[in-house]
Amino acid sequence: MAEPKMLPPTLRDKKRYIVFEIISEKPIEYGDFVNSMWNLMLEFLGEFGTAEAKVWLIQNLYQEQKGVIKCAHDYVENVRAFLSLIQIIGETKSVVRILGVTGTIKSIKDKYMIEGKKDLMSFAKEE
Amino acid sequence: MFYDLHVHSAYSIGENSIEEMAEMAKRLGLSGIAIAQYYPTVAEIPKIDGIDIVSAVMIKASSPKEMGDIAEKMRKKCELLLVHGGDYDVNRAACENPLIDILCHPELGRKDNGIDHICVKAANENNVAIEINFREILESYKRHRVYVLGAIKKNIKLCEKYDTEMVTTSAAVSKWGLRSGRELAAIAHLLGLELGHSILSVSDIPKEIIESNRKKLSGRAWEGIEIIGDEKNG
Repeated sequence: MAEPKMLPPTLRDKKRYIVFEIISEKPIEYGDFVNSMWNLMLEFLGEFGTAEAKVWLIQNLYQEQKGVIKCAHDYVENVRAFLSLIQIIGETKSVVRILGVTGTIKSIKDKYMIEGKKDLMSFAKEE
Repeated sequence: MFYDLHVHSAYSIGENSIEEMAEMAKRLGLSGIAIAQYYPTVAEIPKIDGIDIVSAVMIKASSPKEMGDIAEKMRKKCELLLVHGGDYDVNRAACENPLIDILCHPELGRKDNGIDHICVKAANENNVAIEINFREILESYKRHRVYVLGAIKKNIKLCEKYDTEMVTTSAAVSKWGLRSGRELAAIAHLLGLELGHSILSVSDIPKEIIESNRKKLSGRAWEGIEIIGDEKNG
């Protein structure tokens, strides 16, 4: 199935990348985190709020309890708020700590490098 | 004065007969509904007093060429041509074809919104309207509904940018899926369409589409030309 063409820069959605770290007793699987994040987000922001926030967890960048959430530029505070409400992921007690917010994937690499990911830039081009 | 240009009855995939749908539509204050039928099985649609019944044909094609062929064949046999969107190539071909009236649910069955700025620009030039499909929102839930809302929001943003016409429809498959025009407009407004435009998308825009098609069918108008007044008086 063919894909739509990429939009010109002025029409693209404005987005922010939130870099976070999960502090927990045991290591957390990516799938568990996605499930608990979506359930909490739907409860807290609602279906409409979630659609507005355009939240997307970037799978390629999830490694060693650190990850990146992409969201709409004016919904950063809402995403921060619901991430702070996470208590249990899967069956493990845990806390999500936000390391920072950036505007591009390149600056994540510069500031909060997730180690072992050398092909970050090729991923950024696909985005 | 509200119109709903995408309704299914027992003639296609719907549950209720046209009479039942018309009765419900009258109660909801709609002044016209378009009964959609899928292409190969197209039957004559009865007229009903008190409500405007429009005969519409839905083209479900797997390739752009097939869609174009069917559109040429059916243009003179029905009052409204809809295209079943979803595949990007079909979406784009529909936007670039002046015979088509409405491109329905371009985001159906996709993760993205199904159209880009090129499609929307072409749709504006060829007078193709993009549909906001209410049933897709109604029948999805939780995570899937979030994706559908996001895709429709994106379509609305693009259409607002390029001044492309949008039409809000209920796409009902039973009489319980119908909604009154103002409520459909409220959903469209919530998703980013300006309030004035969202009300036009269920009233004036559908009416203009139907009126211009009827003039063309009756031989009173062609591309760019229209006969005004009675023939006797000149």
